[in-house]
Amino acid sequence: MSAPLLEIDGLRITLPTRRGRAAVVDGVDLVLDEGEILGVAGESGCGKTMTALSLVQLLPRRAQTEGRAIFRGTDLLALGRRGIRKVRGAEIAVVFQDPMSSLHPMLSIGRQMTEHMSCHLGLKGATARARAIELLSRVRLPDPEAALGAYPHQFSGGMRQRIAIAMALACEPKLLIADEPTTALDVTVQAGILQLLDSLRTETGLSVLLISHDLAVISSVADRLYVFYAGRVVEAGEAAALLARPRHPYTDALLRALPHAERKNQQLLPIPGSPPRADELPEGCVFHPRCSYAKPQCLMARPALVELAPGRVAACPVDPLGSVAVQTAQEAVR
Amino acid sequence: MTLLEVDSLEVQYERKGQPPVPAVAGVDLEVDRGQIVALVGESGCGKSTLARAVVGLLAPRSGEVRFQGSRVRPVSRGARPPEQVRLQMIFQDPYSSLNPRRRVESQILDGQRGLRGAGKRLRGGDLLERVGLPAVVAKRFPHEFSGGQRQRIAIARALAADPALIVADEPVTSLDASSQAQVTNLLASLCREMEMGMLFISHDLALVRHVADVVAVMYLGRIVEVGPTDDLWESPMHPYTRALIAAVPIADGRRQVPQALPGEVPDPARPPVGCRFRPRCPHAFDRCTNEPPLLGVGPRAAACWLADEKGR
Repeated sequence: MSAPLLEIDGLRITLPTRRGRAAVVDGVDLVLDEGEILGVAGESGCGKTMTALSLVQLLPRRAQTEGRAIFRGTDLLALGRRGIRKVRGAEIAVVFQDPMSSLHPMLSIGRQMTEHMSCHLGLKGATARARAIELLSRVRLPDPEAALGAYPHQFSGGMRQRIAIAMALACEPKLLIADEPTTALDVTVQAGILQLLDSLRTETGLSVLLISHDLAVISSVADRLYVFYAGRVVEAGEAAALLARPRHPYTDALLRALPHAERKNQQLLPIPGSPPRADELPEGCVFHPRCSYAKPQCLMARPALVELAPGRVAACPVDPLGSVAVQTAQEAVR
Repeated sequence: MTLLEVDSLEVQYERKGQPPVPAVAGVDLEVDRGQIVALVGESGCGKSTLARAVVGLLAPRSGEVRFQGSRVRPVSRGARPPEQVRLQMIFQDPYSSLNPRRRVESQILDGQRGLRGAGKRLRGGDLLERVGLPAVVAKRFPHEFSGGQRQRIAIARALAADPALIVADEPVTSLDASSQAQVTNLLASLCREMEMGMLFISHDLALVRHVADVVAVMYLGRIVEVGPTDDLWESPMHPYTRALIAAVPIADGRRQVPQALPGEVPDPARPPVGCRFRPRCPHAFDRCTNEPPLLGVGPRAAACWLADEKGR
């Protein structure tokens, strides 16, 4: 098997707080293969975005990173300012949640798209224009030629997000980081963007790091999934197996909190409380204060990720859902 | 007496040198005591305009809104008429609906006259506890809270007026999944406990299914389908409702990409001739261009010629 496209090893990101430096991401290991859509899920503030931003060195200035992120043989975290500029936007592109703030409101779409290409690819004039039209039609924007002369405010949210994706694709990146790309959009438009990401992967072999708090969004396109909580990976594995039978209580709770089409007239089951602040992390398992299965042993030590099956890990010493799974399997045998 | 009656409401925005935009083009809607009515549709369909007109933040062009039998008049600089104080609104973005420079307690008690000292503290603490926040946070500022907690504060502020009806405009859209569930449950249980009516505006049909008694689907300024939640979900009659349901992603790990509805909501200033959904409808035929279908009367209705035929 060839080396993965991206391998994050022991990533730790700290930010200064009143009580000294606090780790917003702590000990994250993550592997992303070529041509795969990798989902990263978790509540707000659990380190998903920080992890992604560290890869392109867009973290707040006072953040410090430790660990390694090997992307095609280079450690992204060790690159200097010049080095990362060659990677960012060219080999790794980012699409953010709010397409209005990632596009310049006063520059035409054509100008924004070609400026970027002349910088990275040296394309100018008519060549750049032709390339921009090709990209806009690849993201299925109606009438791409007319769009070049238009301004961001003339497009709807979904179309702006398509333009942002087209810009991100300009330099044929190997990896697209999509940070909550559909959160600001309607469900119908969201479905269109998800279809687009899925077809880009199939057509061009693009790898995508898809960050979302919505497991339903991730479930619809991702091959594998990492669940983050309080700056750590608590469960990871193949998306289908993981969502069909979560083993970490946090993944299970996240799934139960989602409105579900087939579950009608039921109360939603939110996770009690909110995620801890990075400078007030609880002892032992960081999820235990909100966990309905917590046992005294959860307070003892921080649980490590344990391999449950090939490619499937979870960090829960109690593993209450695992025993349920075993029981139901035994019942089925009887 | 119905709590809220919206009767052939039309709202339009005037523009300089251009034709006005009729954002709401003839809507009838009712909300009863203790009932949760959801209004769903894509952005640009007029949901928020309707919500603002219902609470009197926008003046209707024609038609009227009646709250507890009295006509809702547009809000002006003076205080609202006392009979409309029990009509309250919650906005989408709890970051911009709360004043960053004022303490929580002073904001939620804004409309409460004549409270001093201990009485004020008790009332503030009581309201905060009803939305699941500890009373001690009353003296804090909005930035000290997460998005979900801010939305609770906004709800506490609406509750201060002892509302009979709350209009909630996308109250959980800007929150993450777990906070969405918390805030949605809170709103639903408040409605049940206090026999309060709620007009719950959302673009998320899956969420609506958990809370609403009745769902009204809006498209380009008009309601295209209405019905009891389960019925509408299980047998949607309008192609637009079907498209909205098909677009909902499901977290079952089966990697099914949801279906997108092609095209966009047309410019409301130039609505299509005939049925407004026709340009995006996979089933459109001649009659849809020639005659606009009308929403029938009754608790279950759809504005579609095909639904009409199926019904008979």
